[in-house]
Amino acid sequence: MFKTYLTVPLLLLLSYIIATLAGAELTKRGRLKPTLRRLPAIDAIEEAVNRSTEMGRPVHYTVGFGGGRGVNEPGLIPGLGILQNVATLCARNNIPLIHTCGFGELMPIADEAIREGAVLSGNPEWYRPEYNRFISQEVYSYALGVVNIIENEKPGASFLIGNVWGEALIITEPAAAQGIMQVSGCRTFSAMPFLIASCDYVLILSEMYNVSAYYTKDEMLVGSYLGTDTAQLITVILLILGFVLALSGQDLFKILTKW
Amino acid sequence: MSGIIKSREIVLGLTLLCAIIMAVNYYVSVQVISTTASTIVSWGVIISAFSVILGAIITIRFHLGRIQKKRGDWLWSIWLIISIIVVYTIGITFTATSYIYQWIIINVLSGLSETVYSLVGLFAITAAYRSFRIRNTDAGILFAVATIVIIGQNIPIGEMISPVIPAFAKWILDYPNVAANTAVVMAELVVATAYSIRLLIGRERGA
Repeated sequence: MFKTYLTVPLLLLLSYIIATLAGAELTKRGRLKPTLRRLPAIDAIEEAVNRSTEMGRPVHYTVGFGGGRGVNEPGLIPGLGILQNVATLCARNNIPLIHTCGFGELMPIADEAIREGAVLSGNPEWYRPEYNRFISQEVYSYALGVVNIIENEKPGASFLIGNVWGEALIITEPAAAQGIMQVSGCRTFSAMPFLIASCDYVLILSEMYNVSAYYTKDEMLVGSYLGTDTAQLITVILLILGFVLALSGQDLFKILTKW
Repeated sequence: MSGIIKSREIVLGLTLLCAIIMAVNYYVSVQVISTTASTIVSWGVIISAFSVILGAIITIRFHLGRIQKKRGDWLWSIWLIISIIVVYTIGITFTATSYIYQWIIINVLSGLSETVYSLVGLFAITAAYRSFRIRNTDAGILFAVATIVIIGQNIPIGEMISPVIPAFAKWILDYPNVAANTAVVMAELVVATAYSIRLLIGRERGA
């Protein structure tokens, strides 16, 4: 049976979904013409790959270890999406990509992302199975393995985007010491200061989800952000309402869950 | 046949089906749906367990290739393969709870892990040194706030100078910090919902 106390969260979720799809559809039909503002961290992804190409060096990418939660960590999904974007750029420029894995179940998924990136670039022959490397299921062994690859294979650019926790500094600091251009991103607040301190560019939370739309300029993808903005507006209105009600001694959360 | 099985539509369809079952299970309480959701989660656990073996096979294959071609640090590759074989053999022969296996975990793996973890302290200092150089207004604000929090919360010197400093540091952490964090997380969750929808309908593609 339906859990009645979840009525409001379900309605909110449905409103977010409708707003996203409506924004995408209206843009596709040409009724709306949204544009994405410049995001330096996303621009830096292409810049980093191009830098590696000019230097004749490979590109390193890892989605982090994610506190050992494996593929259950939500930050992994945009991390893999950006891996596909980076693979597309590497295949277009015909330079090697080294993807390092911290947990085995990620291997086939990452492999598919790299292969798909190669197909999208129009250069499927670029793909090699050795681009995807398993390091270790133990966090510090994994971090040291990544550092070893960074120091020995000397990539021109290194990406650490996805599930980043305690391994952040162990990976990024040796890379920074070597002058490697680093772009990182995560949704873990405890790791973010480390990334900001040691990387050149950092994708902060929601920026990680925008990469495909930013590069492809696909009408549907860009349009969906209008929906996202509307959904965020709904959230802000609820926040203001909650704030006003709190001043009068009432709890909006309790009111909504009892509704 | 393999073309049909590998086709993108089937993969997307299965992903969408699993996502709908998991989402419906969150909102309704129906025996059939909750059993199906539990089964999907169990499949995930089984796949994870097998992935460890997959990881070991891929690692051994990669390092054997390196040894064969004598490429890079191939001598370390020999050491790595010997370590994998020894630990796997002990684990399978004597089980993971045996004294010898636990000895390896406690005296070798834990020791090495702690050694690596201790590097974080050193790296935090070098990273902080680079970040705290005041190059622009943002870096100046970062430096000022970080200094107040460090002397107010982490070292006793703040309290010795003035009792106001620890209170101010706590106020920074409890109010501006929490407010900014909450706003960013809420924005991210909305964007993540939109991203999931795009992913499930197969529109999220590469650059």
